[in-house]
Amino acid sequence: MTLIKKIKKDYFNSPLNSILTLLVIFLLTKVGIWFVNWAFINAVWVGDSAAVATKNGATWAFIVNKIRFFMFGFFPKDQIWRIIVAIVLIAMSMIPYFIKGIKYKIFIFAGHMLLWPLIIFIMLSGGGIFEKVSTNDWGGLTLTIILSLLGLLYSFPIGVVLALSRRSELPVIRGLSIAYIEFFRGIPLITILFMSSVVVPFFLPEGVAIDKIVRVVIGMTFFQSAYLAEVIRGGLQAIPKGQYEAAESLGFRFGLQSYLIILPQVFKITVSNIGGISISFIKDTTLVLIIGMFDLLGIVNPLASDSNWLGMEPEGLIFAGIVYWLICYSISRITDKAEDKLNTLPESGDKK
Amino acid sequence: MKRSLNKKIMSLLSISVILVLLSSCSGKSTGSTENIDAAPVTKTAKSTLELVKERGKVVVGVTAGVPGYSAPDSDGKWQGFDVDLAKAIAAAVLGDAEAIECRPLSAKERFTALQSGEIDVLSRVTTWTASRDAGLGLNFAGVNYYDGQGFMVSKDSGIKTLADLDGATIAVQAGTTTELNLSDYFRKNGMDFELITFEKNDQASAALEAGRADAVTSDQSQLYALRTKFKNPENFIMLSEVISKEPLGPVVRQGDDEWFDIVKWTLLVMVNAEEYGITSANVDEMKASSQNPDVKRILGVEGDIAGGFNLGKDWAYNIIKQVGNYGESFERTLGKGSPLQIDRGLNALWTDGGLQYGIPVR
Amino acid sequence: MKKISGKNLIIQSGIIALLLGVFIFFGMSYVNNISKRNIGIGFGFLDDTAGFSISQTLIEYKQSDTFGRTFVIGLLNTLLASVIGILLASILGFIVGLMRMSTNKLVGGISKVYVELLRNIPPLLHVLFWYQVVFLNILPPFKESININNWIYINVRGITIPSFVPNANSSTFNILVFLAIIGTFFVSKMKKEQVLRGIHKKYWIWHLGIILVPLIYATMGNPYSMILPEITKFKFSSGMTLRPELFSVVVALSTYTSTYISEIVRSSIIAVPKGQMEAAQSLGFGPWDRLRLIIVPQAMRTMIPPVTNQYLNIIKNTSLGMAVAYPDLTAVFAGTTLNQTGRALEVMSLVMVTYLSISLVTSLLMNWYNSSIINKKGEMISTEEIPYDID
Repeated sequence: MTLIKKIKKDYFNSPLNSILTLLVIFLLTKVGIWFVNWAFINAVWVGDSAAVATKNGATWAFIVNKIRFFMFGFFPKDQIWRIIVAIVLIAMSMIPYFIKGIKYKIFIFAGHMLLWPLIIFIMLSGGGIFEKVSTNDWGGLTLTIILSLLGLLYSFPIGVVLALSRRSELPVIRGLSIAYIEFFRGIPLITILFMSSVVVPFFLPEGVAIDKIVRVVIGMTFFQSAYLAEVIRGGLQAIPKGQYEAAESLGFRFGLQSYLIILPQVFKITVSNIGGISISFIKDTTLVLIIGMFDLLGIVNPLASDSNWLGMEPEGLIFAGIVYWLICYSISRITDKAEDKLNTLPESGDKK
Repeated sequence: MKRSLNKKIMSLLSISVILVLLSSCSGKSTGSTENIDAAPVTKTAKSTLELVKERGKVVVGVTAGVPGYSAPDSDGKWQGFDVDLAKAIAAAVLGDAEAIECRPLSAKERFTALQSGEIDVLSRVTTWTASRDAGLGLNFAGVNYYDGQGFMVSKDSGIKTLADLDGATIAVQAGTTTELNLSDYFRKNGMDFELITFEKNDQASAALEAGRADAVTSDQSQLYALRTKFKNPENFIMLSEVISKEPLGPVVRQGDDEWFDIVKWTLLVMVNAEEYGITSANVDEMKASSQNPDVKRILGVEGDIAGGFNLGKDWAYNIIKQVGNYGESFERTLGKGSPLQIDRGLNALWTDGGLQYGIPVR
Repeated sequence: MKKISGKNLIIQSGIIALLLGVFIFFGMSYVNNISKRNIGIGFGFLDDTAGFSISQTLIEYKQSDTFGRTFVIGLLNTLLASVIGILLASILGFIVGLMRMSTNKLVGGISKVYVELLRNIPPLLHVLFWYQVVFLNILPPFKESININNWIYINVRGITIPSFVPNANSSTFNILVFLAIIGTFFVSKMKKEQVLRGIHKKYWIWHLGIILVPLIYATMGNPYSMILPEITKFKFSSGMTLRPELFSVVVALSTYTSTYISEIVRSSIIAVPKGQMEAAQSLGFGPWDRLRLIIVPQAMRTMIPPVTNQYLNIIKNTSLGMAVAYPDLTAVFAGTTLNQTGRALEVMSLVMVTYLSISLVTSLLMNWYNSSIINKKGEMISTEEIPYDID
């Protein structure tokens, strides 16, 4: 009885709503049946070439056959263990963040800024120890992860510095950081990637060449740090004035130490914004396909032009979409949870 | 909000100031450029040859994947006609044809990559034109493939000649000479067309396959290559007419004549080897027993041509042994031994009515 | 505030000197590299003949026009895609935002799925999906178009609809339409004032009358003749065709951005105090009037700054169109023109400054709009603080 009442209240509480409910149910079943047929019932999971495809079904066999390339790009098959080791090492290096006893996690972060590129350089590129693998062969999800991780890693400190500079009392510093932030927020990322792939080589002294992937990471870091700076500045502004005054009265006039007190609080308030921004960064890494790099999205077309698997772009794009969705959605869930956990700060009306 | 707007205006202003500064400072320096050019170039940096030897690898710019010219095989190793030339350079300079690193480049990136020193040589189906030779600071080291711009259409469209294309939608790759030739040709003949410009050549051909365009235009050889990527290649045909001359060849930076010569002569040695019948199979035998002075000079048995290039005596031998002569390379990658099945045509030796002509080695 | 101390002065001049040094260093090596390679410097190339053609041109363009003109063509295409994208994204975002607040849980759930599904997929993938999957893979070829009553043709080449050609009396009709728009505006305004005074009168008869006049004129006088699309060998000789490149960019960006806008709409409406809604209800406002006259104007204040950011994102994201051959500023100017001239720095600087200026003008317009609604104190019933916006 209560169930019926509840259904009535939630779905049939007015004539308009009843019609809407019926309409939605009708459309959902129609689309749902078509989708289940396409993705599951008529789908093909095993096969060696596009010849196995059926007319009204997805050819997941393409994904199954090419999964190595989707994950690791054109990295030599016998060297793939190196990527896995690198990812495990990077994941392990994050453990200290979750140990409660450790103070000054900022030093761990600083350590990562040195450690991660080193791991990536040695394990993926070879770094003189292993067989050299050209950065051209990096691709797939691996490249997406490398670009996102390194971009985020470096844009954090730059973003913090920019946010603090934007609140500085020194006009030159403030002006420069405003110019920087507004410049990078005003232009599309693709123009920065073009700059890094077509223009930057001209600015380097003769004989100096920087690998394309490094140039791209630097360009993306510049871009992302401007957005992060704004998020952090928002957090800084939300910190109650009293906190600054307390720090100031203790004699830390805008010194580093006062920010050591304030910054952790800023991160707590802005955690969901930072999560949101990380998600956009991950989505932004797809743009490297326009400058000819084969990230998870960029590798779809080369894989689908294999003469055995022609015309498989839809499956490839949908697979890439699912992977991106899983990554981005889980990050948004995690940051939402973290926000609930962290936001035990007393709400204060006195905003600066 | 108002305040942030002021900031935006300020940042825009400051950036324009920087730009103006930049353009004015660079404007001034153009005057002094002439002086630099007039004075003999003093070698401060290392030559390309030294760099290559030090690195132990030749870095070559290739396409992002045109079957037959440069494309990764199933093991991810780059193969093709253009890659063969790079291999030959590596064999000549380093004695090892496998000592190459291929950089896939878009049409847009290719010249910058070469100009900035990211690559040593560009072997990427690049058309030799006066403006590129003169205006981009580059040198074309020869022609390894004589091509012409053609059109591919679907069989059931009923298009037989170029005149049938009046009013058609044509797909093309951005930033190529084909884009300009196409516009010129249609303008000259008073024909109307609609152009769709894609970043990549295979996107352009995919547009034809899907019916988005009525024709795709590119160098004819590339069209053959693109057709092999179609689901039903037999449904598409090439129009017999060509609208341009497209001499394709390797490109190097201006200002390093030594490297320019090496690339130029690597290609010429391959052509000469075909003229004299030296192949990768019989090169050892020829080296040991040939009485022909030309062959002896090529293979370094007589004379010291290699010394002039700062290369080892075996340079030409290594090219032929490890890569083969021009004809071998052609047939293996583009001709009878490949899925493309392209005729030698203009690319036959001059003795067979083609244009490939080996400059004498003496 | 402290006075300018010596220490601060030194720090600041130090930073300026450092930046100047870096700038000069890179500038020198740029000039050095450029002059060594014999590449020209400067913007003179803008007057040279372009020689290539462009598929979608809003103003007249010939191959014999200059590179400077290709810049204008690209810019206009960027603006076109931006304006359509912004309009569609606003409408969609508003609808989805309201749907999420529906009392019908199914409708709310559907819109939540829409938001969560689309916003977590990269916009470039959206664009490629619409182009490569929907257009190139699903839609039929040109000769087998989906034909709706000979009016609309849908195929891989795009969507073709009839075009309208003005007849002699079209200007009368245009004036009538114009008057009708002004009339509707005034009636709405009048109604608003009445409602705010507590008078609820029916105005729909007025609205209907205003709309009917031009409509009747249209059926009687034939101000425009409709020309149906006609298939020739390669294309439709008449009618208007919406190209798949533009369509993909606009649809992809507007659906993607609408997810963000819907969240903004929802949270701003939630932020309006509940008492407002209840008060309006007790004063006898209908549901539509409640929303239009009480809730939305108040929500607007919190909505505009974040929505402006989304608009700016759409403008910047139109540059993704180059992945599907949409001839926007990035594709035409930073693509083909850059390639034909080789002037990388000059072209890229011009493109960046252009995007910055577009962003600036958009912010200006939105700011002006924002202050225009905030300044009308009479309509602002709530006296609460405007929540701080993170730019």
